[in-house]
Amino acid sequence: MDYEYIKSLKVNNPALRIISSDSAPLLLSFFHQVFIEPNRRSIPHEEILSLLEDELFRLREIYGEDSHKMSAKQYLVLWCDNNSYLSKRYPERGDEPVYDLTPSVAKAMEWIADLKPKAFVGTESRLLTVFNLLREIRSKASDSPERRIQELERTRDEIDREIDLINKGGYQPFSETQIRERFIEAEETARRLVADFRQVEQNVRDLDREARHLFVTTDAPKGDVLEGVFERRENITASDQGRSFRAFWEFLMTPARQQELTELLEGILVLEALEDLAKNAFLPDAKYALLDAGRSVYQTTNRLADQLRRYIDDRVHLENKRIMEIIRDIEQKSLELKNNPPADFNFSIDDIKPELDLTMARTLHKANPPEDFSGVMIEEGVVEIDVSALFSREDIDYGLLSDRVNQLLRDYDQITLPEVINRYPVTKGVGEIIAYFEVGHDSERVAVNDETRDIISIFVDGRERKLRVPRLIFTR
Amino acid sequence: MERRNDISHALVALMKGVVYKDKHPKQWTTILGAYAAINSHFAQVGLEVFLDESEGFTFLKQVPNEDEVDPLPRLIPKRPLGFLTSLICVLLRKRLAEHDASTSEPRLIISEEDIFDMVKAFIPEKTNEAKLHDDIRRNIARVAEMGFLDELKKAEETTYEVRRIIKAAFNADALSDLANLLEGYRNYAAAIA
Repeated sequence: MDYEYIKSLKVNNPALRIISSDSAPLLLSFFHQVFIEPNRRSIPHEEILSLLEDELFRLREIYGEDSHKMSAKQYLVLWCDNNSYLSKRYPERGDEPVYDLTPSVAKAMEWIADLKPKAFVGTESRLLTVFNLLREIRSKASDSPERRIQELERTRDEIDREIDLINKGGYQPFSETQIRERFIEAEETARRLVADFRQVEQNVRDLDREARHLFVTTDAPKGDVLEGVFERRENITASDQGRSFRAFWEFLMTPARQQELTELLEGILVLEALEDLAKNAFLPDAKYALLDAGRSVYQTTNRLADQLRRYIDDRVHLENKRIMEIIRDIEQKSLELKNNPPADFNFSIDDIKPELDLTMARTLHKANPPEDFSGVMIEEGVVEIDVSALFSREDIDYGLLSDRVNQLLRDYDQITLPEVINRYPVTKGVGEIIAYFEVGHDSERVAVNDETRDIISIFVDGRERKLRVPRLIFTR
Repeated sequence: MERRNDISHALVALMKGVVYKDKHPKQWTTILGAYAAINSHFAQVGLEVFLDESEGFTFLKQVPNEDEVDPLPRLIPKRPLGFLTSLICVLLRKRLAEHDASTSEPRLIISEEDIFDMVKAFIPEKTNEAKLHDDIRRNIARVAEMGFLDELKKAEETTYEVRRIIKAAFNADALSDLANLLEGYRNYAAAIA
């Protein structure tokens, strides 16, 4: 941790950058609210955008228009820049990108969460955890079976003693404090585990990228490259990280363990001592979060295998190399032709579907005979049709309409609706005309003459429509 | 009967265009399962079913038979491409190769802005940037119409997914044809200069 190291961290480490950035309050509180609290790992574009817009709106209400001047969209782009805060990916299908926190940001958030003074710091349970871990190491680290048997016997004695004690009426269940302390610790550990998974995933991705890079750039004999890749894979699986991950995954994927976890949680969350903690507990979701995280690690590994297969396939590999060579050639020549672009250019490729245009399949023009209504009895009736679309007034700006009328009334003592519309053509359909009536009604300086009707033309989808309305006169 | 119906649907899907594993999972499975039968069906009319399992697409290809005694007329038309359209396709093809070489993301997503930047290097600087963009945009639309680009509807800026079929359409043969053609133009340009 020397001077240079810290200095470079301050510039290059996204976790430190986010903490020291001016918009840290916005960034961190927003990320906490949308990712950490609901424990989500991917949020679709539209959703995160609208969440951010709401948040910005809320902040501007409180701190004034000048706070956080950029739009939600701009912030998102900025945060994804170089994937430093958010990583943006496209899912296997669908048109919408999704976002997740980068490992460094997840780390920064953990750290910030740690800063908060805790209601109480569990000391007993953690000390016991340390003891148990040490005991476990000692009893299982040794190769000698005798040692292990000794250990088991000691445990048995302990159990016997406890049974004895209980029989004599000396049963001491956990106090509320002890329960809460342990629960909080379990929650914290799980939370940290999920956060760490972003890092595991990142590590696998990095490995994948390196391998791909190697496939394309190297001219070394294929055997050497493969050896390198396999060695690296071997290293990874044999590394502490690899082994621990495998053991973790196997443990988690055992149905019996999953069942046990579910039952444990069901039994624990109803405890009275945990009443307030259980509501916002992280553990019930933790299983899914861990499964999700583990799955994406596996998917990446599988894709690497795919890529490997393609690389081994000589044909594909050579074709790729050749194609890149030809493309470079084409680029070179196109650059030379830059200022004399080829006229009457004559290149074609095969289409990717057959052309089926059968002349005989076309039908002749058929004129529609006029409808014959003679003999149809017209009956009076009531029809229920939803005509609300016709009168949609969602995007009509009443203030704007009222301003227009007031503007005109500076020059005229009174003015009729057709005259207003003559000046300001209707753009929002029938709803806008109705809105004028409402505006007039609200201002109370208006006369409506039901006897006389005015004809108003409006354009809907490029077609002219005429409306007959009662004469509306705005006055000063 | 069920199976025959499936095959009919697969045949029609192929006649209509590319069948993708992700877009048409049902037809895709049918074609994988009954490849021989489907291929020999189309062989009758001089077509061949080109199937790339790892890329996840399949489509009909014209089997060249011009040299035969009694050649069948082509069912699949040749599509003439302008210089700019060809260039965009080649650059997209290159992007896809680079993408596959560098990431494990299965999809290549590219914004209109990216395409502008890619293409601009090959076009004489015009003062009228707006017209240039319109030009490029028109050509992008043509590329999309050919099925090499899919516009993503939900993205906020204009964004496309490069369909992997471009790999099959711009294979080494097509690319070297184009390179040779350009060679000719270059020599001509040099001769009159």
